[in-house]
Amino acid sequence: MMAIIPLLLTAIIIITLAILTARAVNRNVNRKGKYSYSRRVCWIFSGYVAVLLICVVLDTVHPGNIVDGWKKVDTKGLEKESIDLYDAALEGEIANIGSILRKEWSFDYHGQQLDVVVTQDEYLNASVIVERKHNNDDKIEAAFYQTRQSVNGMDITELAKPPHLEIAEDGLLLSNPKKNKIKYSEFTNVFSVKQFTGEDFFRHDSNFSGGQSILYLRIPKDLELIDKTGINLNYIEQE
Amino acid sequence: MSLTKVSLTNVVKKQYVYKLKAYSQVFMSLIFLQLLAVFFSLNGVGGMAGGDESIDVEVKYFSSDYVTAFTMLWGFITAILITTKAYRNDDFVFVTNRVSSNLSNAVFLLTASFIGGITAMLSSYLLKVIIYYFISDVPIKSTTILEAPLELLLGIFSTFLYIFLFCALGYLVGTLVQISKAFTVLLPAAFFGGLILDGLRGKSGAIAYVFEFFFTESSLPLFIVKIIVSAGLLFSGAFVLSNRLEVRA
Repeated sequence: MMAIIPLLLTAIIIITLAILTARAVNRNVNRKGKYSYSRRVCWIFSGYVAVLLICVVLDTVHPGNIVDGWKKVDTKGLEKESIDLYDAALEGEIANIGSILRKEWSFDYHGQQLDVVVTQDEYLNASVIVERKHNNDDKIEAAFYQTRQSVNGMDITELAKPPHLEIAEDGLLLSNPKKNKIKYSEFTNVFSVKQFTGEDFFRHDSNFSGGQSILYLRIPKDLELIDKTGINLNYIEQE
Repeated sequence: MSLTKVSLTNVVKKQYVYKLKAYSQVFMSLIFLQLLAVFFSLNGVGGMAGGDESIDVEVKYFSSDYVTAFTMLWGFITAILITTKAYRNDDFVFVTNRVSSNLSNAVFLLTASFIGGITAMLSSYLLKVIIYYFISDVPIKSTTILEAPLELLLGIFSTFLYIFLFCALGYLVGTLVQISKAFTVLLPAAFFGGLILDGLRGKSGAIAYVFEFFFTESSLPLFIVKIIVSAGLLFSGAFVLSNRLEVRA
């Protein structure tokens, strides 16, 4: 209901302006019935205002190719969320923290040693945390956890793909996913509005939060992981 | 000598109505400038690129900043224009004096500012529609008038006040130039010289202070007071100075 009042006010202002313009136009016909210069200006200006109003209507009823389905996210809490996820992972509590589990893998492996190799890139875009199980079940379980990613206050977590994991002869092969490219346009408020809404004056508030990505490995008790490409394997301390 | 007594209000009103028609060409230049600003805005007013190993994000920003700035400039130029001799002599069609002439000019500029404020804010929708339907092939994030109606009203009002402030400034500048042509050199020299000096000193000077005084005010009531007082002072200065102008030959 409250949103209608400003709309009505705007409509009243515009209608009043249109009526006044129309009246001015009517009075402005010279006696010979020819259009005076000011009348021509009135017509052109009225046409301009009409085009602007049509654009307002078009924007309201059919706003084109809009960004759809992106949830808003409170960016203030994202950094803490990332730290909490990392701490929880190091304490072996990652499953209890309620963060986003993006993907799980399970591999059978019967050897005593396993090379861990990052392929394609120099490093993996995720922290690797390793938990040793209490028994040797010949199974390697992997899970990819991720805190929320955001751009300009919108949640884009689902747009980032999880890494690839594969057991091959060379060992456990890890690779970053193919980059997802997102392009969009954003209409921002004019500076004369921004100064009252707390937005950055004359600049555009841009922020990207990559979030925390963790590849959590659960390996058999006596399996030795050999880091071949310099990724930092963090082991959970056993009690 | 006339036996008919006319009140100041009546004269101002007649002059105002006359000026709305006689000065109508300023609205043509308003349309031209706003369309030019829309054209310049089509390429965006900023951008951002970010990302990590898994995602690349590219954002292009659009806004009607240029339109608003151009409209403020239009207000400034229009105000200077109506202080020129050719325009001032139009007032002699009526029984007139400096007070009625200045008052009708101020009311005309107030009206022009209001019209400029509305069209500047509405032109952001023209920009949106052009970009939606003809230019952008990527998704667009924006709010419609129904989602943020208050922002439109706030934009119209604050832009109107800014334009009016620039009109008042232009009116004072125009009046000064009419007093002495030396001001056509002195005023730009003082403005740009001040900017260059501030740049060389590496400190913000008077121009930056004035800029911050208005443009960084986040309280709307305070902003209104600042604009009204400043515009009032600028117009008062112009009214006082215009009394020093020679009478019509």
